[in-house]
Amino acid sequence: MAWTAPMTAVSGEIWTSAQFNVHVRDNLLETMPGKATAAGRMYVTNGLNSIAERVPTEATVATSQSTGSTSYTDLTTVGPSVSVSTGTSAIVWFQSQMESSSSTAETSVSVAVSGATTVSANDDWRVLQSGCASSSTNRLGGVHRFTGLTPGTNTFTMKYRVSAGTGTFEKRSIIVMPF
Amino acid sequence: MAWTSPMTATTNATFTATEWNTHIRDNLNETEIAKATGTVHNYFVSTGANAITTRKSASHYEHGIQTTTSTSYTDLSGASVTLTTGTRAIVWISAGIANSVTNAAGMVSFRVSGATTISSSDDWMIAVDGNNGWSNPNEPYDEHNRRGVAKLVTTLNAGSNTFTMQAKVGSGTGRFNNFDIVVLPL
Repeated sequence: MAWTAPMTAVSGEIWTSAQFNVHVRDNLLETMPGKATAAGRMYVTNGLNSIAERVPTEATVATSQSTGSTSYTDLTTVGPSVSVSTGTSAIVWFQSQMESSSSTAETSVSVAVSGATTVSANDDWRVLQSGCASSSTNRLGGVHRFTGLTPGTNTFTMKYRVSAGTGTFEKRSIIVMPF
Repeated sequence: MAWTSPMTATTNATFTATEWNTHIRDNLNETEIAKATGTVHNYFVSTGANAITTRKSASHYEHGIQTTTSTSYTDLSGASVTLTTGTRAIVWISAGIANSVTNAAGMVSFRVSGATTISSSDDWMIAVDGNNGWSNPNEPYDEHNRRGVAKLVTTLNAGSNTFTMQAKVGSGTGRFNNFDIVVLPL
């Protein structure tokens, strides 16, 4: 049941069971403890007099895998990816160990969104490594705040590409904080 | 008192003092307004079904240069925070890293102590590799790269936990500066 603006009691009026159920029972169920289902959740507003539970979530893929694709692609093990219920925004942190077969090539990691919303991986929010000795291993991360999401279940997936040569990626992780 | 699922009133039933105390007084005392302490800038998280508490984030920044030749993780002096957490926390670490040897790696990770013991791991490290070695001891940013990573720790024991940054090298002498640790407890 939704929140109802609490009634104002009037002297001499009988307080009915229906009023109790609407103004006490149902309103209490709209509070944080009324909404809390498990530990480690956070709560955000999702409209006037309304809150929702959100679950910060991480996914990881440790496996070392490679690509020579110059456009964003999946590795043999797709992701990692996180599917969560969001409102219109989410903060996403993503990190990976990266190496290149070429000291002059770029290796890039970005994030795409699917499900309720479709957003392609983009260099605008990528993590980029360039100019390092070939086969050296660096691990680094980036962050992006996605706005304009369609509320509902959205899936955030890490994507990979190179400018040349072969890029190898491992110890990959993505964390999503939905709002 | 804990939360009790609010009763459903029925027509003509007597509303007792006990019911008021359980379903109104005690439940209101479990809501976020009643739980808000005098400390500002806290936020609320759940601790279980129908239970919430306040949390406060913490951070620590160290500017100065520290060096190590250790090839296993060793503490960076002063780079730690201690705070109350539930079973989960988001941790961000950032550091400037350089190595005296060209193409030798420097790595930074973090460990947990206190209510929980978790060793530093390469699984959530920052790593800098494949660069020229630093040669000017008087230039603090000689051949440095500064970068960061995030980690959602999900195996904490609720209580007071300390998050400490650690560093190691693949070889050579690593220089570490401008290190930052931020913890958002859930």
